[in-house]
Amino acid sequence: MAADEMALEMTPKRISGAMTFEELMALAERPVLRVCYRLLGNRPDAQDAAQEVLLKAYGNMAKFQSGQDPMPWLYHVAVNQCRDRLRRRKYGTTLESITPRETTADPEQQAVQAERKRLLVEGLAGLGERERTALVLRDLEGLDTREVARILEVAEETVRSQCSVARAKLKQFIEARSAL
Amino acid sequence: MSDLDLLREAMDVDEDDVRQLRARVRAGVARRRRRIWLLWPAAAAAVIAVWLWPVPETESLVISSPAPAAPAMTAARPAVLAPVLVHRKRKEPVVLHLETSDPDVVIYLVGSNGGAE
Repeated sequence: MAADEMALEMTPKRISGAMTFEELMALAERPVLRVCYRLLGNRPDAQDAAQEVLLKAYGNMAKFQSGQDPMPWLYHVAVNQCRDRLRRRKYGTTLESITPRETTADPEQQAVQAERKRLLVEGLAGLGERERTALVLRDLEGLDTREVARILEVAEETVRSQCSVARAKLKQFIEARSAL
Repeated sequence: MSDLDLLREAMDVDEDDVRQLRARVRAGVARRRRRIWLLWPAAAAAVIAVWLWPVPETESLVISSPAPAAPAMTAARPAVLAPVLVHRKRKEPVVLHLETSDPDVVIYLVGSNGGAE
């Protein structure tokens, strides 16, 4: 998916007036699950965390009745939920969970891409929790720096610095592994 | 494809994942609603039980007219009898002891300058 499309998909929609839980689910289920998966690194934990987040949203529906955009709140709760889970266990990704999609017909090209993806996922797993969170929200989810700073309750400079460190570490990891 | 695009693609969720999450959330919501439906009748039953609980009979309070008030105290000023000089030494304050007609009332006048004659 192109970066613009991703950003468009991720840009929270302004909802005027009251919002039903079904509408909230339709808007938030995929992004919340995806963020949890990217932060936790495996699907079962991501399912558990996303379920918790959406049930919390269900209990806090009054917050969104005044037309308030629910996405920053949901991202904030999702990040906290994932942090709690990561404190209890290590970031983990199973190889079956990153089975690549067929984006090219050429089998050799597919194999190269699959290997690259595997390395990238390993690199993401090797990042510190804060750097990974900033990278996931800013670069993978396509949120802008100010929004990420608000979600993480840190300064915008901190987000920029964490993203930059994360990208550098990821690049370094890929280069080191590719050289082997 | 850039590395970020590849990573995005590698760590995306598919429709099955989303469907599974939706089912789990709906089940969770239904559980909560059931819990609320059980909680409300229980709370209502508790309120009704407290309301209908038999209260033991107690004696009714009889309010009678208040007792007559005691006679008011009269504040009579006692008359000062003879003043008695208690201390009359150097370097000590002058103290006058005034006895009154009331044996419970004694007045002392003490000089402020200890050495005054």
